[in-house]
Order: sequence, then structure tokens, then C-alpha cells
Amino acid sequence: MLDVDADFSTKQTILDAILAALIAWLFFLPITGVLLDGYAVQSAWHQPFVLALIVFYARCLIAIIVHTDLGKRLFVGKGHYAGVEVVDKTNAHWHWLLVIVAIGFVFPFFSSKYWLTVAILALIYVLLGLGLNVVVGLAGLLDLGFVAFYAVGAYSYALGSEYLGLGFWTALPFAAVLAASFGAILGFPVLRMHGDYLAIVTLGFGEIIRLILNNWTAFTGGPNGASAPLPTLFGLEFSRRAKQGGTPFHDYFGLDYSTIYRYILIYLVLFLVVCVMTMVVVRLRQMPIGRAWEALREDETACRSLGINHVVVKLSAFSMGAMVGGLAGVFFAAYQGFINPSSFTFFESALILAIVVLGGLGSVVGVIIAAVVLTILPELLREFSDYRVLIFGMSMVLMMIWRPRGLLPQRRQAFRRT
Amino acid sequence: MDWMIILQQLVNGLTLGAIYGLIAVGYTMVYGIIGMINFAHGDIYMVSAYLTAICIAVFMSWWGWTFVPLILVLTLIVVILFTSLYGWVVERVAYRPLRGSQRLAPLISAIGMSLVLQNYVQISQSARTQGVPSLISGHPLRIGSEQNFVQITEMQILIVIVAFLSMAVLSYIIQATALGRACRATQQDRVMASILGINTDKIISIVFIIGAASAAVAGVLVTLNYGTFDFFIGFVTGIKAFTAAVLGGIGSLPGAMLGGLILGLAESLFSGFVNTDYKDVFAFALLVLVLIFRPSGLLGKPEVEKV
Amino acid sequence: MLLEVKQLAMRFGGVVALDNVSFGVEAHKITSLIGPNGAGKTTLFNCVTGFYQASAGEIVFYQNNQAIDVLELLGKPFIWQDFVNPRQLLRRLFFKMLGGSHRVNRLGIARTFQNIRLFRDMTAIENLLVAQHQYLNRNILSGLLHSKGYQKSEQQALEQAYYWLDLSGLGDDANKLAGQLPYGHQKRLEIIRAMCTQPQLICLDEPAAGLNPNETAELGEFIRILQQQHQITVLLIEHDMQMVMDISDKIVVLDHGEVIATGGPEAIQKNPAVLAAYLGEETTDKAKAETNND
Repeated sequence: MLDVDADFSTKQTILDAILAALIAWLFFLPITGVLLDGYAVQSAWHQPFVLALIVFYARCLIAIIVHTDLGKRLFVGKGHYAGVEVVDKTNAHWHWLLVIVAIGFVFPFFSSKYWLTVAILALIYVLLGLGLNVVVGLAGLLDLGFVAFYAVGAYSYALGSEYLGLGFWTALPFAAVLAASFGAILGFPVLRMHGDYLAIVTLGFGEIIRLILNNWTAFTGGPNGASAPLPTLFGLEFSRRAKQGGTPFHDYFGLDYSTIYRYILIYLVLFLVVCVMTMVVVRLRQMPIGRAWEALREDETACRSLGINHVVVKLSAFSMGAMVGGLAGVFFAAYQGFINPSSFTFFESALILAIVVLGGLGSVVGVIIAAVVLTILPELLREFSDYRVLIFGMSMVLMMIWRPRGLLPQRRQAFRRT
Repeated sequence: MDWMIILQQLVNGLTLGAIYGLIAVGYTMVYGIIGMINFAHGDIYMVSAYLTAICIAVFMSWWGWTFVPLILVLTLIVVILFTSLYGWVVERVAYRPLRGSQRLAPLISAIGMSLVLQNYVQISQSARTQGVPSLISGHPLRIGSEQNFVQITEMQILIVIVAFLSMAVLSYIIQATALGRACRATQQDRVMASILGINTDKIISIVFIIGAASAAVAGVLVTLNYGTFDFFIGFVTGIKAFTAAVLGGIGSLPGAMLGGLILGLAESLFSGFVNTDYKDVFAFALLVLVLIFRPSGLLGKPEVEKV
Repeated sequence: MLLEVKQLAMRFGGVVALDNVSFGVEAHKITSLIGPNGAGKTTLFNCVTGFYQASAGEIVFYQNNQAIDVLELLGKPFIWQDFVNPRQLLRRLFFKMLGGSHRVNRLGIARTFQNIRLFRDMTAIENLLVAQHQYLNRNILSGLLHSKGYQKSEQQALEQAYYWLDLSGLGDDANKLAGQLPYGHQKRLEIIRAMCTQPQLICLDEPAAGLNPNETAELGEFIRILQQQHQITVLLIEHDMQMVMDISDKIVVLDHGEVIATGGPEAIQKNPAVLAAYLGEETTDKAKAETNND
């Protein structure tokens, strides 16, 4: 299995690894080796040594692997085009799709409340991933303030019900439209900038919105947050006693009161929205506008030379993403029942970006899988929860180096002559 | 309006601005040479704050040193060395393997690197707010009458002096040494520079190291001045320093200092006379406005699109 | 006359790239723009196609006997007269907000680039479909529901794309990624992509650069076909003199940002100013020296 080729030199490998380990030891020494304790410090000398040792073995292992056949297949030939394939459109998988959708719809009736809430969270991230995927993956605009639209959606439900008396069902389209217009208004001035500037300006916008939510206490409730009402179903309420002038759901059907009903409702609506949005994004990709998004990602100058108004096309991608983010926000507010600005920090944006990157920029299926895995995995591995962000960050770096197009190969539809 | 209050805000703004200018050096030089924002730069600065506290604690509580000037000088040197190593590692891990790949890849890997650094510090040193004892606490200089005065602390004077000294050294290196010449050549045309025998990979590493070193100076000064910090300080300070770099004209070293000073003054006047809660919003809004209306900044050259 | 450039000037900071350039492009003819390196050819191209905003002068495009000011489409800076003439102000504001080089293309001026700018990760046929963006059914709802009108419009676009692929001999490359095609094919794909925008004038920036003599000859043939069978006007920058002399109806020579000669291929070949520009100052000095000796 580990048959190395002729280029492999044991001595060189070990020397390289020793050097790497030395640098790693120096790197880790002050921060992991000396721990602050008030104005004093405690030593933890073993930590840098262990980390340096890990670097040593990792360096050796990589050096060996890239010289084996398996390694060459995995790492070499990662040139510009690896990972994109052109395929004829087939409907071979549609019955599997039906099975998945059917399972998705019956899942809440057999699930425990805990896993139902996890599933809702996973679906919210699927929605967010789909939205950001349009902006980053398809149109190639690095939006680091995506969480702002999520916040706009969540707050438009919470504050809308407080000030305007909006219910869950009216809040959905309201938040979608509001977030999309926010996207358009913020997008118009900044979309003429190129990649890096756009990233930092969207980051700035995201923070501005969070700071305003945090500081405008009279309107938003500030750091104390705002409460969002429970959703209703045809006037039936999901609280123990009717508060919004309807009948409680469990009374109407003669059931015992349980909070699970409200989660079932949110789950089912959310699942439906996710299904519809997936279809919309898949179709959009094959439509003129989706092609223009991808063309813009490839080469903006060429797009302009073909009569495509790059600002309008970017704006449409930006608003589309914002709209989906806004929808996700409403579900988040309804599911939590309460929101405050600390849910909408830059970390959240980075997490959504990690989902899109790990799923493969532009790949709809990949993003869905990544969102589900990245929400469920931390639930299963509770003891590693401190390391969550560390692992996301490292995987973002590794993915960009190793598989910038995602773990699954990207597929493009072929167009045959008729 | 009281002139003394305005003067006091100007003094505070100048100190703040000198710090922003020092951190902005890292953004402006890296952007100048590889045309990319170093998203992990703010976290490099954050690491340097931790290193400062660790150094001081080791010197004082472990080794029992009491001679403050020696502690300060040695702390500065050690922190600069270790922070430079962090800067070098960031370049080596997140940027070098991606040279020549698509536009988004290095950006995303740098953001990943920024998350890694934050979480790494948080896990190792706990999420608590940390602090250093106050080492410099003489009588502040007071100008004016009993009730109505401008106060300048020794720390503020030290910050301004050290910041300007560092900038002078940096300008000398860039303008008058062979290394600086190689940096400028690489900035102008990387391919041509490498044809002429300049090891551009090495130059890019050195630029990251220089950026990290000036962030380290800022980190030491800020930590000594404010006394407290946490693993998240790099984020907001990073964006603000980037604003300073853009304001001054990205790619320009004097621009970074000028932008830092303007931003520092504007921010402290804003928080002094308008609203303290929204001072970060003000800085971010300034960034957005500058990028929209004058992306080349005050001292930068306008970019000509290459078709 | 299809396009007229009048007293055009372009300055970058203190550098004068173009100065007082005037020439015309006749409809359904091939006009070539030649000149030594750094003469300002590509700058002129970028001005004509709207990628640079010229510092002074005029570019007029004639369409249906109407003269259209190309520079206005890019959004000119405000002048004080605007503020007493609301209609003009609105017009200027409109082009400032929504103007830009894409409007120049919609007017009927298409272009290719010196270093190929294809959508490399999209297939060849997708490149051609993107180019037809303006002519497709872009209604989001009918696209999402796959309405009849939408399907018809996509179908037509596909036929059009295959028509151009077949004409240029790229039929087999339709479903390959554009970035993976051989260099010569990429060059041709870029030209037909520009043709898919249905232009009246196509500006080709060094289409023969990097091609071997055979491919260059084929390319010349193809440009002829475009001009003769599709009634396209061609404006060409080219260093390959063989090709320029073979296919051009008119040649404009630029040097140091100024037009130094205009005329047919034969006239240009004999023009002393052109010879001097190409062969360097020595010739002129020598010529002068010879005159002095006489």
C-alpha cells in the first residue's frame, strides 16, 4: 500500500520534518506553553512539545503519501480543471430524491423533540447555505456580512409582530421582500468594487447592522433582544393557553399539551421552503440569469463586453441571496421564540461561509450535505464543541489548498444538438 | 463648545491614530505586494497582545524583575520576534500554497486562518478577559486651569514617540536599503522582479513579517495603555486599521500613517461630541464611504483597469 | 461610415496615450489599426468599446442614419449647463447610474481581447449562450416554470450557438470546458462569442497572435467570411503584416498616440512616415543625412 517511488528520500523527509517541528515548537511555545493566570503565569511545557511532535509526524506522513500511487491520485493533478465534469442531464436519481423528500416529511412524526430541534437548525443552515451559495459560489462575490440579512429576516418577524402585528405567515413574504430590498440597497453602491474590497465592505455592513441592533435599544430592545410570537395554523395556537385570540391547537384536536407540535409545524413549513428553494436554485442555475452569474464569476470584463450589465446581474444575485437569508431568519426567530444581536456575529457569517466552501462553491447538493453534517456533527461530538471553530477554520484553509472546488466533483449540464 | 475638551479629544485621537497607523502598515504593505487583504492581520495583532502579557508576567512574577525600562525593552523585542513568526506562518500556510489560484481561494483561506488563530488563542488561554499590571503610572501632564485642563499621560507620549520612530525606521528600510528596493520592485512587477533575480517568495514572506512586526509594536503599546484584552480584539481593530490603510491610499506607507491619524482623530471627535455607542458604526461607515467615493485613498494612485 | 473617431485624446495622469486621433470606419469593410508596440492601439480600442473613458474628443456610431454619441453612454461628468437644463441632467444622471461599456456592446460594437477572456470553467456552448443574454427570455417566472416561450427562446439560442460553432469548425468542442480547448480554438471561440451578441461592428484585438501561419491563414479566411456573408464591419489590431495587407480594405497607422497615415494597403506600404515609424529613427536620420550630402 505504501510503496514510495524513487524520488523519495528518507533523510530529506526527516530533515524537513525536524525543521517543521522546530518551527512549530517555537510557534506554539508562548501561547500554549505559558498560560496567563491573572498577572501571573503557569507553565504547560508539555503542550508545545506534543503539538510539535504532531507536526513532525504529519509532515512525515504527507511526505510519504505524496510519493505513493494513492497520494499521487489524491494530490497531484489538482490542476485548474480537476473537479469539473460535463454530464448529460439524466433523471436516473429522481426516485431516490422522492424517497428522501418522503422521509423528510414523515420524520417529525417519529422523532424526539431534541432531534426535531436539531433538524430544524440543520434546515435553517441549509437555507442559509443555499442563499450564500448563490452569492459566493455562483456569482463569485465574497459576502462576509451575509448574517446581516439573516438578522433582518429574524428582526422583521420579531419587531413586525411587536409594532405592526404581523403573524408568522405574513412575516415570511414580508421578511423575504424586506431582506431582498436591503440587499439591493446595500449592494448598489458596493457592487462596483472588486473582490477583496467587496469582502471587507460587506463585513463592515454586517457589523454596522449588528451594532445598530445592539445600540438602538428603544426600537430593537438592544442586547436584551426581542421576542417573536409562536406561529399559528389557521388561527390555531401552539401555546398552552390562547394568547393571540384563537384556540389552542391541542384543545381543538383534544390532544395533551406538548411543545413538540409547534416544532413539527415549523419543521414542515421549513422543509417545504427548503425543497422549493432547492428547486428554484437548481433551475436558476440553468436559466440565463444563472449563466450570467457564473460568467460574472469567471470574468467580469468579458461580461461587460457582451452587453451584460454587471451591476444589475450582481445585484440580482445579492438580493436573491439576501432574500433566502431573510427567510431563514424568520424560521430562526419562530423556532427560538426570542432573538438578540449576539446570534448575528461575524462567526455566524464565517460558519455559513464554511458550509458553502466545504460543500463546494456552486454545488447545491454539496452545500445541503455540508449544512446537515456541520449542524449534526457538533451535536454528536459534544466534548469537542470548543474545537468547532478551530476545525471549521482549518478545514477552510485545507479545502482551498487541496480541493478548492469542493469534495464532490462539480457537474455542468451538457447541451446537445436537437 | 469648550476648547479644552476638543484639545483633549485631539490628544486621544492622535494616540489612537498612531496605533491604527502601525497596524495599517501590515495591510497596506501586503496589499501592495500581492494585491490581497491579509484577513488574519487583526488576529496577528491580537496574538501580540497576549504575547505582551505573557512576557511581562514571565519577567515580573517568574523571574522577579523590577526594573521597568528593561522589562519594557525586552518585552518589545521578544514580542516582535514571536509575532513575526506568526506572520510568517500565516503567509506560509494560507497564502503561499495558493499563489496563482483563483481570486477567492486565498481570501477564504485567510479567513479560515483568522478563525483558527482566534480559536487557538481562546482554547489555550481561555476566553477570559486578560490583563497586565500598569507599569507606567507617573503623574499625567496637565495643561490649563484646575477645572479646565488637557491631560496627557506618559503612556500617550510613549505611544506617539514609539509609533513615529517605528514608522521612520520602516520608511528608511523601504526607501534606502537593498531589501526595500527589492520590495518595491516586487510590488511594481512580480514577474519582472523574479526574472531579475529577486526571490519574490522570500520578499513576500518578509513583507508579512514586517507587517506582523509593526502590529506587534502596536500590540505592546495598546496592551500597556489599556491593560485589558481578549481573544476577539483583533476583529474590530483589524477592520479599523484596514479603514486607515484604505483612507490613506492602500499600498502607500505614509498613507497608512496619515490614514491612521485621520481615522483616530475622527473617531475620538465623533465619540467625544456625537455618540460613543456608535463610534464603531462611524468607523465602518467611513470605510464604506471611502471605498465608494475614493477607493484610491488620499495618497494612493488611481487604479487603471487592465483590459 | 459606421464609426467615426474625432480628435480623441486619452491621458493617464500625465502620460498622453492618445492625442488628437481621428479616423473613420466604413460599413461592411475591414479596417486595420497598426503601429509599433506602445503606439496606443489597444488604448484606442478600449476607448471605442467603452472600457476607457476618453479624456477628450468624440466617438460617433451611425445606426439607422442616426448619429449616436458613444462617450455619452459611459456617463460623462456633470457640467454646469446641466443644472439649467433638467432634461439633459436626467439623461446624464441615467447614464451615470446605468451606463457603462455594456451599453456600447448593446449599441452594436462587440470586441475580443488581446489575452483571451473566455469563461474558462463554463462549456463552449455556455459561453455562446451567455453572449446571447440580451435576446433571451429572461423572465424569472417563466424560466422557473419552464414555460413554452422560455423553452422556445432557449432552443433558438442553442441553434444559434451551434450555427456559429459549426461555421468556425468548433462543433465537436461544444460541450468541453472553454479553458481546456487548444489555444487556436479558444481564439476562434472568443470571436464567435462576440458575434453571438449580433453586432454591426466587431473589434478584434490581435486575433492572430500566437497562431502558426496555417491557422493565421484560416483566421483571415474566417474574418473575410464574417465580412462578406454576414455584412459585419471589422476593426482589427494586428501585428501580422501579411494578414493585415491581405484582408484590409483600409489601414490606419498609429505611432506615439497619433495617426500618422491612413489609406489602402498599397499606399501604406509605400508611405515614408510609416516606414520611419516601423524601422526606427535611424532611417529618417539616414534619409536626412543623404539629403544633406546631396
